[in-house]
Amino acid sequence: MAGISRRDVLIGAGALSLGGCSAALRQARELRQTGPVAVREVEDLDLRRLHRIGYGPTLEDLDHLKRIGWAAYVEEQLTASRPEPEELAAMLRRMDIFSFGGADLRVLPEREILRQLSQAALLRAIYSPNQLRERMVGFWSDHFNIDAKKAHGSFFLAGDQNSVIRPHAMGSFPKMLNASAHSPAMLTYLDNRVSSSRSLNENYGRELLELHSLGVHGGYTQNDVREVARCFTGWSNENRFLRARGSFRFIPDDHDSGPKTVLGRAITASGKGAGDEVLNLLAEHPSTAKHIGTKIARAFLGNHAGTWPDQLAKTYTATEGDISAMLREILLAPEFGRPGSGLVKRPFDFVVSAIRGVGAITDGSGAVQEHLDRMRQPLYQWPMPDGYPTRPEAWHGSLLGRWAFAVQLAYGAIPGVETDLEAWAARTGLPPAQALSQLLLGAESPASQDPREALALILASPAYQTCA
Amino acid sequence: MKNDWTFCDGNGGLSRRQALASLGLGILGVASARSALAQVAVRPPTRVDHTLVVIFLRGGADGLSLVPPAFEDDYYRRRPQLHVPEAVQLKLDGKFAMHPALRPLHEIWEGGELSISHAVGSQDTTRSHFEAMRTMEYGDRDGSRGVGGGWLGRYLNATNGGGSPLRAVAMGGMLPDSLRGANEGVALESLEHLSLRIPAAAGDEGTWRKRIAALYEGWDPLSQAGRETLKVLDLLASTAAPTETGAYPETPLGRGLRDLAFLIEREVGVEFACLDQGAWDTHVTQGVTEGWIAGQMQDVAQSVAAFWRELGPRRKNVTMVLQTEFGRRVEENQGLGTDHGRASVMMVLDAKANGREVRGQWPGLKDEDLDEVGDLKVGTDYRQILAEILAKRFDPTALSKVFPGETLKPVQMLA
Repeated sequence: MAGISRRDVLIGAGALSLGGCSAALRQARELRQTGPVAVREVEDLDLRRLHRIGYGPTLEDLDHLKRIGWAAYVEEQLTASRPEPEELAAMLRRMDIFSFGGADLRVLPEREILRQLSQAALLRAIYSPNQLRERMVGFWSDHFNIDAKKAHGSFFLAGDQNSVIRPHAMGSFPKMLNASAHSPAMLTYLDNRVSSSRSLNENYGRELLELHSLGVHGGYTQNDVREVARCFTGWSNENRFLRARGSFRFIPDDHDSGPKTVLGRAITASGKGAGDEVLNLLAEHPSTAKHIGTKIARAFLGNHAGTWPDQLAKTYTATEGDISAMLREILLAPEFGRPGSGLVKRPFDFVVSAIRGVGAITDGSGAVQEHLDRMRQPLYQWPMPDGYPTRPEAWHGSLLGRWAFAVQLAYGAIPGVETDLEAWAARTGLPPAQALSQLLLGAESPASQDPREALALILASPAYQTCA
Repeated sequence: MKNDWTFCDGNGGLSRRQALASLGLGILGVASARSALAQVAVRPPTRVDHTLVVIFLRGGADGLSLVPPAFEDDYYRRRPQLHVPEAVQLKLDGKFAMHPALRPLHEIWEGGELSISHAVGSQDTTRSHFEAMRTMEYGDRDGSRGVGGGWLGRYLNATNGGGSPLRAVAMGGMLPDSLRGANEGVALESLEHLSLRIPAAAGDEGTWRKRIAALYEGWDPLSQAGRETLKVLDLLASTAAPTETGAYPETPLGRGLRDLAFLIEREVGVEFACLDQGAWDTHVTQGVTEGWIAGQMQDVAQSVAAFWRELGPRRKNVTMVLQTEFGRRVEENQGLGTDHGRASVMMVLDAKANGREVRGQWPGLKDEDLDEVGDLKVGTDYRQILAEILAKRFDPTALSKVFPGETLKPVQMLA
């Protein structure tokens, strides 16, 4: 390897996953499913459930659900036990963002990092059969929002996804909270990296309380914000010569070692332990249980959340923050999938569900990301710590972008996305327009006999935006 | 917005066309492709008397840097690194000065078309961005939520527009809280995106607009939003959007204001426009005459000045307000930045602005003048300024619906 720099190696490897669309798209074609399925129609209830437990069903999902029933389907999703396609894993492995550590990625332009991050998110959401996990990864990525464009956060984002979000998405909330507090990406995004006893920065302390744990009405004061910030002084990133740059490092010299009181309690641990103690305190706090319970209930039930926030809060407390325990209750609740929830798909949901719905092949790159950008949900670029909005009205402006995507997808006009509506429909034995109408919308008669026109109208319709 | 023809037909001989006009509805939205009403001509451009442009500076803009209180010794004392040096301050009224990066706005001040108020804020003592923004966008007095919906939304509901689908626009793609609760309110990402971009194989755009329109005839919020979007498409299908940036900076605000100027010139009935700018949350290395905050100021000043200039004589029908959710702490922090504060500046551009001196109550910067955390107190409630604008340039009778139960004394930002 004489004369070849690390930079050359990186860029060479990157070219494979780059808009060398042809290479990534060729790999994606291996993911195409073939073979007959035994579904010809689907109940509205199942459609709504499938569009919410994950990002909408493929033909395989419809077939699978029909054979094993909802309860078993939920159990599989909760344990993420369906086998992941090897081709998907292979595509992800080849990406620079998963091959190299944070600081080493600096040789690549940030927009390339972002492109790969978005590509990975799209590919996983589209091709993983463990849809609930992918939905929860999205959910927690909003909850622990990081703006890739702030302070070179993009370099550490993959690490954050891999060590904070993905391992704990259906696991232990306290562990996720703890991992987030140690995340170089988070410490950079919320300025804790530069907070010290000499120069206190309250940003992380505030958002930890307001957004990540107790919630804005969780019963803390401005003084608590300050005290929490003091506890986290010294929590920073490694930047020393010959050390693993960008990893977590506690800097004792930066730590404010004076006495601290948080939420009326004296913090007894010293040094790094003070921050650890705060994290435990927050993770166990009833306001956190309520806050998390409320967010989960609303995300899955919308208007039908009713008394579920309190119920989930109890579950949180009883299970020490076990996310899958809360999810199990919600997914098996009679309100789940009930019409009138008011839930509307956000642009990412919409795009992914459309591609999954018709078994399209994509490399998740360029053009698809541009469509998401037009719909105002470019991934990992929400500037505020509260994450992309969940209220439907915030997304009314994306309708035009959705309609454009719908028509372009149906007519094969999106570079990097391939559809074969006839082959897809042939798996069901139904004529294409009818298959699309029945299986994407649960509607008996298609708006048009021309499958492309029918698909465009299905995807553009209000019903498709509201989880069917 | 009920589609009740029988009422109209039975109402003492009103012709169907007259009845439609009196409903103040965009005809295109009501008619379906199959209806005879589709033959009614496209509604002509809608004149509105006045347009308000609201620019929200997001993140808590440091009023003490935008408009330094040059006469206060405590300003220099508490901002040893971050004060704007006297040599480069732009003169305002002999007491307050302006940051040099705002020079294009300073020219507008000298031309008598800019008013500035300092120590403006809400009674909400939160230092949370989201809470503070929500308070101001809802037009609430403080953190206790009042009537509900956005203050502009309440105004829209309380008054009749000309029926334009673009009566209230948010440039940049997301509807802000200030427009919540109103049926009108369109989020426009950008003019060039105002098209379906139908691929050649699929046929022509007009046909697809009609097909999609047939899908969005319901009365749920999503369908209504769909109809609004289609109306916009129809209206703009006949005009050409601007392509050159010219004097505008290549920033979201610059582009947004350029597009807004285009819409105003086309007289498509824009009455309210909301834009967001910036990342003003300068916790660390704020910079003084260069760097982070100066860059934000340049964007605002250049974008606003280019817009104001382009409007030309139409300026007399436009008012612009710049606001932020809170200011920043008086004392600089040791990260060479500033933490969340309370009061900040608010500015109004208007052909008959009451410039010449910075308005409002100035609480002072001495220790005893600051609040318990060390922040500049609020001398003027932000709603006093918003209410004055609505009263003097829009429909004053709607004020009781927008800010119910409040007496909001104007600080005379407008003549």
